[in-house]
Amino acid sequence: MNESELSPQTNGPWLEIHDDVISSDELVKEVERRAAHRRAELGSVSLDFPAFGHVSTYPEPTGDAGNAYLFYYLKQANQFSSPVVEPDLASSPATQTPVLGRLWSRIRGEMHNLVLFYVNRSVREQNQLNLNLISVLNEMVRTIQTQQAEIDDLRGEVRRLTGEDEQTAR
Amino acid sequence: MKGATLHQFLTGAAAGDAITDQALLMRRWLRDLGFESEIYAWHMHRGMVADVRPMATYRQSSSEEWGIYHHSIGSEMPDSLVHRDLRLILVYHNITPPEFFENSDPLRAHLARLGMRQLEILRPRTELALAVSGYNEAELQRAGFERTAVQPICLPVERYDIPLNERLAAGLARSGPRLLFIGRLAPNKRQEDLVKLLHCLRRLRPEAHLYLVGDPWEVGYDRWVEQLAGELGVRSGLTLAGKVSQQDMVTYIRAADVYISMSEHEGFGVPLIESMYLGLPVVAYGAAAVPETMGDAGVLFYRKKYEPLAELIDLLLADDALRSRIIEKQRARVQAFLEPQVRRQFIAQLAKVGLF
Repeated sequence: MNESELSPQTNGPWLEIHDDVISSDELVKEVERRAAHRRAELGSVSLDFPAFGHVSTYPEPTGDAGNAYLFYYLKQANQFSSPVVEPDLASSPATQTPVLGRLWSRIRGEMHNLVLFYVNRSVREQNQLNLNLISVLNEMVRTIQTQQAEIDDLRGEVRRLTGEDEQTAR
Repeated sequence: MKGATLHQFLTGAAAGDAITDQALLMRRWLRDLGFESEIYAWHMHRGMVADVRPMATYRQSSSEEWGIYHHSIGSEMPDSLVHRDLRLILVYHNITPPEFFENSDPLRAHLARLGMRQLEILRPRTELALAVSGYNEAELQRAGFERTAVQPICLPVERYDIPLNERLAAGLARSGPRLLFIGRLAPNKRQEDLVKLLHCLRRLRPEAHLYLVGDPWEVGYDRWVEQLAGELGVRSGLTLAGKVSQQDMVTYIRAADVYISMSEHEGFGVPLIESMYLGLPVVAYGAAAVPETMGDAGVLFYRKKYEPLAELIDLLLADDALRSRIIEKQRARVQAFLEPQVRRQFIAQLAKVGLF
């Protein structure tokens, strides 16, 4: 979601220029120096950007999964979120007939494509909604996992402090 | 080859489409060489009626042995061609990987997968597989094609050395530093990343303006890009120009200060060389065939570090000497994509299969 860090295609500097006056390394240093200076001058800029089509990944259960059903259904939802529209035309005996068979096959193919065109529109919208909903669920579960870990830590701390108090009282 | 027939076949034909433009250029070369040559398309835009014939009207003549097929997406065309007694020259323009559309457009993802599968049925019929870049040639070789060669895209200069749309030029001159990207609005082109860059650049150059020229190809993506610009507070600095005429496109390039590409998949990248030819400095993400097309010209980047990239744009806007050196190098590079040279290469390819 932040600055895209796709695998660099070279082992060299991330900027490439073929120039007689400034090398790629020098250009990288110069623009990064300017960026650092600008950040110091104007403050930092948020680079936490959303990405089109980004789907939040399934959060694996950590430690004691708590509600096993939650992760079961969430995994199912992640696996079947994106139905594929494949124009799979089964062969028909009529297509073996000379001339008429080819014509029939052509008409069938065109009709199929027409239906697919409109179905695809609807599926596309539904896919987008599904993916957004699943991403929300994944992120919510991830938040719950983080909060649960914090609660567990705090409970441990409370137990430890309570234990210390009891020992002091004795 | 006077009297011989060599037609071309396309899945779709539309004005301003890079594949259609190449087919029109090749048809001129073929006719100059004495071939009888037409272009047949499965789908065609109404505006192409004078130049392209519908595939339904195609009848193979008895003496016709060869055909040129331009492949870029799955369609009915490959099946139609392989069932005829034709030896094919395949021109491979690359297929955008389905992963880019998997979550947003299942049909487009399906057509991309189909196009990849159709390479298999085309292979036995193909005598020579031409790729518009070395990147594409490597894909053909991975798909099992043995006789391959690179036949780059050619820039027909007469379409670029034309008068500007003065009204548009005057309007553009009123906006601040102008960043330009040309390409259909699609997830693989990553116009959204240009908006993110604009967000950073506007801290340095509050008047900076991003012009996105291209067809809203992927339904919903244009709206999403606009929405993102709104959320980042740079909506006033963004213009989605849509698909424009050739004259308007040349005007946009001539009026722009920097051409910037964040595209993550290009089989060649025609707007890169268009910008180079028209003297616009190019800064591009080095994905797929982009580094090969750029050669030693322009500026490439391999990581999308928005703040330093904004500084780079700022530097290019301020440093006239650096800008001039980049433009000079680009002008030298673009010579490799102009007609005399590319036409000679094309004729040499025909000679390889005994057609010239």
